[in-house]
Amino acid sequence: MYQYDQYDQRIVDERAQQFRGQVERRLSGEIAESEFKPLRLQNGLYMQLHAYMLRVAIPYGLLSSKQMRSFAHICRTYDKGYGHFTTRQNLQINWPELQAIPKVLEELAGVEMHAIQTSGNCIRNTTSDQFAGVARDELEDPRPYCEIIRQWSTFHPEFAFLPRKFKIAVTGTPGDDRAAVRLHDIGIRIVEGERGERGFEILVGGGLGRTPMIAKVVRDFLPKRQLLPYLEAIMRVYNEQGRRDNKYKARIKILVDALGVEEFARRVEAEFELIKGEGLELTDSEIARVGAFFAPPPHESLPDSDAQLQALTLGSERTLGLWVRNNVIPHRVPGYCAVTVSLKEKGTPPGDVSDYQMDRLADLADNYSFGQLRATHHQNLVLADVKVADLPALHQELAACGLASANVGKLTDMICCPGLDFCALANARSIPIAEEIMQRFDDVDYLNDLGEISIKMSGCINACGHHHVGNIGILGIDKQGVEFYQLMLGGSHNNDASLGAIVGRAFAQDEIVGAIDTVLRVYLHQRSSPEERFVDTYRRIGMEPFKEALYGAN
Amino acid sequence: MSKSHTSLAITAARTDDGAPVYWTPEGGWSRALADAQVFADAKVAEGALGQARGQERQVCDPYTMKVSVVDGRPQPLTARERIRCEGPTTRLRRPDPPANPTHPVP
Repeated sequence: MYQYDQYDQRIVDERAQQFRGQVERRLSGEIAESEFKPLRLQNGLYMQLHAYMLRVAIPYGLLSSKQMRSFAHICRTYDKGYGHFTTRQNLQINWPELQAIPKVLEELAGVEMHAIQTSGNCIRNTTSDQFAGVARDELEDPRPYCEIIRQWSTFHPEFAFLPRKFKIAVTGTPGDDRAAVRLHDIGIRIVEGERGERGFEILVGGGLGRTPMIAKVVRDFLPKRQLLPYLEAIMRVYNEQGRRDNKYKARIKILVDALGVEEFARRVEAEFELIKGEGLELTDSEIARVGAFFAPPPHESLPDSDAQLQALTLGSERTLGLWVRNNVIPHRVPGYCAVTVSLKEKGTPPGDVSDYQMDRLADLADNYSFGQLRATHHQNLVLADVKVADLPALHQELAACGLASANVGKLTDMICCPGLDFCALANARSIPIAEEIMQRFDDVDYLNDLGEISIKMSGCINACGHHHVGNIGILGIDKQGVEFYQLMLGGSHNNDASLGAIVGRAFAQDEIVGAIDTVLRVYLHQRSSPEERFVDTYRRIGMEPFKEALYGAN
Repeated sequence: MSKSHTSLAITAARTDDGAPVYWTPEGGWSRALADAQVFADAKVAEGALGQARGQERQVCDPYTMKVSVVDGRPQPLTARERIRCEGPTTRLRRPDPPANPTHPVP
């Protein structure tokens, strides 16, 4: 993984030091909240319902065991002993006191981490595919390009005060979009050109929130060396022409939609022509230099293990078999596999991990996966380089610390924002609904029978829980101070990205999980075969059968 | 039978830790809504809010919130203010396995 050089380390150390001074001035009363707020937000420090919340960036979701141990120590020492992995591959701590934050930032800087650009109208943490570098269907590892974008966008003076926040995602697997690139301000897909040369397809204008949109292609094929000049051209057009008069219309998707993608692309190309050749072009040696940080770990030379993997799924140890079937994927290196550690354990908020579990995960990463972990946008973690022969032992150790749920990609592997239990923007709670869903549908045979299906839930229209692209989406709303929940069907975040449609009137808190049960019954009754996924059944039969079952003649 | 009527209280986030606090009749802040000064008159509440805003070191962004007064005690009227007042409705941290008691649940 990438190692800080002296410049990276210096800017992160200096920022922590600067923020120490700013916190001291706030605590002494020298500056008021109105002056302090923009400073704290530039360091990822939010004010939530009960406390400050610090959002720590995990660049493209990749972290070392040393960094995970640092998280554990920070959560144990400065918080309430747990952290929350988010849908943008970041970590949030929910209860730090203000005077502790400079110390937290210094500890993070000590393990090459920070909270810079995790808030505010700037370019946020670039996200990627959790199986980067190991997936068999990958064309090329996207992480070097994520890192190049991270270096370009960090403290970029021109893009520190954009019209709104800005999110970029990169995937190296054109056939299976695990990074949800179509739902980002800029989505980048590594693709092959007509002569087999590698480059990028550039999509712009995706996003969720109150105006959900699927990103549109503005460049079919961009040569690799032009990545940064082209991104800079997009950013300049947006920075200059994006709306600043209304924050709800300020995202780039609104600009792309207003201009039309052809006109937007024309303006970008015009800007690109001006920038080209000014020194931002990537050289082969620079790509190779950054790429070297992501070289595969020293795998052992092992025989092919696909049959062994298959045998485990069908073996006599049923719990292990179900876990291997749902949570493990084959690796490109013979004898290895990638393991998704589900953070969707019954009775725990999705994405939450205790300090104890963080320490254990760091140990497991050291013992089984070359000391590295990855956070996923599904709020899970991945051990990406595990020997197939080690799976029984790893499963046992995960089970011992409550992290062996065999539900990845299943109904209870739901994305869920913190909601009204924590978030100052939320209208309704998310976590209690998620916990009720996990409780009610806690039957692995039923989950496997349902097959591939996603529930995504947000506690407000800002859509941190990606409800628009859940096969089943739940949106919490406020009706005169009382929580209600809108149900949406038919969303998808993959290559077949689509936005869900609202079924009808919202459900009360004590009705929503029953409504999901009804939806699932309709699906099981209507699907053409056990292989037909929920979203495919929905697309085939439409909304009406679900609506009828939910609302009857009303 | 208890009687209730709608009034106003003043709330803010405490600067030191972000915790919700409530303006008291003494002109200070308390973590307990039960200690809050209750205003039946919106104009009087606005006046007190001006005073509260003057305490910028102690608190962030004071505002008025509606409360119902039940048996003389203020109660939040919305889910948001109830959760701010009473804390999250979910368990904060899962307990460690019994074999690892080194990290007790806070």
